[in-house]
Amino acid sequence: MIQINNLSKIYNNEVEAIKDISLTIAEGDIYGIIGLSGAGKSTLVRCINLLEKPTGGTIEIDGVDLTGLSEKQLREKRKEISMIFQNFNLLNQKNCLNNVCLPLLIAGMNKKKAEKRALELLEIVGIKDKATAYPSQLSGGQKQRVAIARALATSPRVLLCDEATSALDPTTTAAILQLLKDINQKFNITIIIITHQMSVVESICRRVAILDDGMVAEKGEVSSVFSNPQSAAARRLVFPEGYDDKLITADEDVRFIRVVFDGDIATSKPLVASMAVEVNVVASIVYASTKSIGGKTYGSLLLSVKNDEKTVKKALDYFTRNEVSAKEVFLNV
Amino acid sequence: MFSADKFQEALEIVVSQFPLALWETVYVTLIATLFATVIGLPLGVLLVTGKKDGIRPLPNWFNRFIDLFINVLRSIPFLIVMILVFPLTRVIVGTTVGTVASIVPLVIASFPFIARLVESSLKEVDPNIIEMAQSIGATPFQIVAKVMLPEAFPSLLQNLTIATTTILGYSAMSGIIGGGGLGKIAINYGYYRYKYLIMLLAVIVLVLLVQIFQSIGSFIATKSDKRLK
Repeated sequence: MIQINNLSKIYNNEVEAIKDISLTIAEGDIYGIIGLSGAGKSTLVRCINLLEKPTGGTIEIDGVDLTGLSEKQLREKRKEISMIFQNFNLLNQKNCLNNVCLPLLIAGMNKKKAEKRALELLEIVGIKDKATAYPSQLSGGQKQRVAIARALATSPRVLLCDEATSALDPTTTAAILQLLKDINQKFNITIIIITHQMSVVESICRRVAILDDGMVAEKGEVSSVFSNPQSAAARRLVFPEGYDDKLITADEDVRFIRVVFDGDIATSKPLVASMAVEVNVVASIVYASTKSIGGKTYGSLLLSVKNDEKTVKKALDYFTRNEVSAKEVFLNV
Repeated sequence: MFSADKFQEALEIVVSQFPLALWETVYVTLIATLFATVIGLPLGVLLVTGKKDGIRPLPNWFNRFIDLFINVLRSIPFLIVMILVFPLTRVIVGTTVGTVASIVPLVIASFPFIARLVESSLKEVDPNIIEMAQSIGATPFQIVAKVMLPEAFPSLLQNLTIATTTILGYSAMSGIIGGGGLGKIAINYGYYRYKYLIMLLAVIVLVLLVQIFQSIGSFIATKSDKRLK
């Protein structure tokens, strides 16, 4: 549904914020775009609705290339692409009802009809009772709910979330994410979530793209990317506690194997110990972690074994026999 | 310092002339503020929206021209403005003397000031909120009318109050070219006829008037600001 082709944005002819990004986002999907600060996430999301004019590449929504539209056509198109923000961006001088009315009035709806629709939307997001309250009287979570109601007003097909939960506490974040999930299912709105929080992507996204230094480092199903990250950028995000390749000595004597397994296997069999007994390969654990992704628990181990072709093969075969995914990884290369 | 008959004389003048003068000062000030706002507000909006990174960028030469135009007008002393606009005043009002005629130089002298105040008020509007308005497909005009002006309303009101009190001060000066009001009384009696007591009383009334305008303006501005609750 959304097709981003070779998108790039260069500021002032020198700063390359994003480089050659290509993504395909399916209708009704919840797509996460994750990266550290300065990775180009905000630029990318602003290029999707052309708040930032890309310097190269195209953005197609249902086959229509947005970069080829006139200002007027673009304004019409933007009514199908709503956006919510980290700081909510509500009008401080208007109450919640009028904040939600804004896009409707801008689209030319009369005041009375707009207010009726706004009330329905406030009900959907669960804060109808705050209709006459002003933003300064609301909590962060409530403000974001108003912003979501406003974003839904024009019945958009796409919802862009720019760090929408970054200013919220964990409990509120969970509630807002649940709301986004409900909206995605109820209205079949494609949601694109920009975030630096792993937990956000893990809890609601189906697919993810990892952005690093303005480029897509890795993309795919959340479960596969997060359980078995291939790129250095992905590993930094998935193992933020210090899975730093540089800390692990590139010793001539050892080779590394990454093992990824789901929780059931991890608890039912002492894999590493059994490997020593069954195939006579001793391995040391260099790194280990567990992650919960989409309700399933994944464990990840980085093992080092003797630098010997036969040993590595024996170990890999052993894991394959036990239905655990294992792969040799080359660090510091 | 002042003898009893001087007080007696002053009292008579206060009773006979102050009510009309007060009324003239108030209506000249308010009408001049109104017209100056009608010109200054759109100009102030253009100053913000027309910037290179504004919502509706204007050609650079045009921006520079308005900027220079405003600065030039603002640097001319009001006394000189009053004399310089005589031809314009004659075209608009038909005469260059009198209370109504004094409104023209007041408007000319104060609309650039108001444009600058409007500019500073609108600059305070959170750029993220303007970005939000663009993201929902608002036209530049809609962004100004439905987002920027309402969001800046308390600040605009506060600044317009400042403008009103400044114009009140200018209007007192227009007594020199025959404009009516408390300024005229102060100059006529105090400066030309050495009746300092009457001048003093006129000044006291002017001070009170500024106080009242300022208090009312600040009160409404604070009351209307929904961020403070």
